[in-house]
Amino acid sequence: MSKLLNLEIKKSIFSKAFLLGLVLLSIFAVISGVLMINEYGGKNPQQLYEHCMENGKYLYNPDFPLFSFFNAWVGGETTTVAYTLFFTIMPVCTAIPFAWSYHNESKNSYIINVATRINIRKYFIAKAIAVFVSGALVVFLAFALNILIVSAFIPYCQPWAGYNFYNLVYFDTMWSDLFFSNPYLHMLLFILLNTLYGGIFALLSYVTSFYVKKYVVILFAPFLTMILAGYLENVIYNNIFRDSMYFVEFVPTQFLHSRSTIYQVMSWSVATTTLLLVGFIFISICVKVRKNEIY
Amino acid sequence: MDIVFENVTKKIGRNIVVDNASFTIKSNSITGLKGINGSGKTMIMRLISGLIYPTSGKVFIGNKKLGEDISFPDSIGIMLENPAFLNGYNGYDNLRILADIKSIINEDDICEVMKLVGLEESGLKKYRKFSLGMKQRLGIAAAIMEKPEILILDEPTNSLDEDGVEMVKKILRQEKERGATIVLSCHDTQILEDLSDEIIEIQTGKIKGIYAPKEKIM
Repeated sequence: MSKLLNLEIKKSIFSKAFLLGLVLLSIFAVISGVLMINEYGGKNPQQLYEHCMENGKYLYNPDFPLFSFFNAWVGGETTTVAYTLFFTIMPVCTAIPFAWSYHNESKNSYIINVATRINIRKYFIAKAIAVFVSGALVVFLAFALNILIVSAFIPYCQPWAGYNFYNLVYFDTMWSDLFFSNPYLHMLLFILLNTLYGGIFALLSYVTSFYVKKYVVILFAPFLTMILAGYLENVIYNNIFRDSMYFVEFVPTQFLHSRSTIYQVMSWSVATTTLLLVGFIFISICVKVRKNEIY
Repeated sequence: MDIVFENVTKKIGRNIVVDNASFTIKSNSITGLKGINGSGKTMIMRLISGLIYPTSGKVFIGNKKLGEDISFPDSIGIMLENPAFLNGYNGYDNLRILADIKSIINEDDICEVMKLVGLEESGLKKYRKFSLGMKQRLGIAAAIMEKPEILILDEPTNSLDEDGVEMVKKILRQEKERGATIVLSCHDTQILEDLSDEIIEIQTGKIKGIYAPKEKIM
């Protein structure tokens, strides 16, 4: 099993498809970074520093909201169109590297070479792990690239709730206390959550390939799922919860950003959505493994 | 080891692709499957390999029931229809990757089998650049490289030139001498009858007859 797993992971990462997924997502990560640096430059940082800080402490100046690295990275900014596109196409970019490989190997019969040498269950499990790793890695590397670019130009000012702040995290959203007390940890947690979802999106595409034989549908399955979930969320909100203050976000492409732009993000809603998706993927793989006939 | 089919029926949707088949493939023999396209030859090969399971009936490999005692034969080499490998790797690497799964053969065995199928030099090309004949040769190499107890070859002479056909005949005779149980299908009846100890004739999923070709000729 370990040798098959090594092989699958190698196939999933050292390929042109992986590079394509990574480059596509990175384009928006880079654009977001460049636009935020440009915006920061336009704020005249020296003047900002002189007016807002003294002996390392902030002085209140309503004309100069604080511009920090923690609200300028792609998971924290809400200013550019690049961040919207980054989170919108993320599900597709995670599927490009390897999620289609079962469909491909089943279609051209390569799977027979493997299925007669090892229990086919191990093949499906190894493939799932490799798909997860490739999707997660694409997201992680795109974030890393954005952070490298942004951190080179924008200072690490500690967020402070008592001061004007661009892209401030709302006080009642998930992990908002960490944004003020330990912004590095806050950022790290969101990167890890996004990395996890990179893998989950890729796996959604992988399980779709069990039932669908069209490449395009397989690649776009997680993206379409998110669009559908967003539509359902709006329908539910408009028809049932319109007057409620407590409607929570359950669409991953919305809550993966540290500053949700539509509904409130709560830890339990994120955990519930994650468990539902992981459960669905797990059950789909189990069903496939039980009905393991290869034609 | 003997391969035994006991009243095996396989349905795919509403289609019956194998219909109440019962026969025994004797150990250390070459058994030919004869029938027109779509008669069910490949399905029987898939049933033996554990790639699919019977809707009813039983398949035994030795004394072990497929799908209950074992999910697929412990030692099997197979080439079904058009073999497929990884495009980005050369012939040697493709075999190495497959050999790594079981780890029962080494680098020398891979070189030896590549030489046997006539790919010792051209095997260094990327698989995507292989001709149809080369792909077929690599498929045969992958099937025999681990010296399996059961060898299943579906149309092994497809896309091969005369030398290639002779090579297949030679390999099959060597494999039989080694002790393998071989199941073979081939559209060329002459080749099938030359090589086979016994032929199973199939028509629309049903076994029409089992005979030894040499007896029939006589």
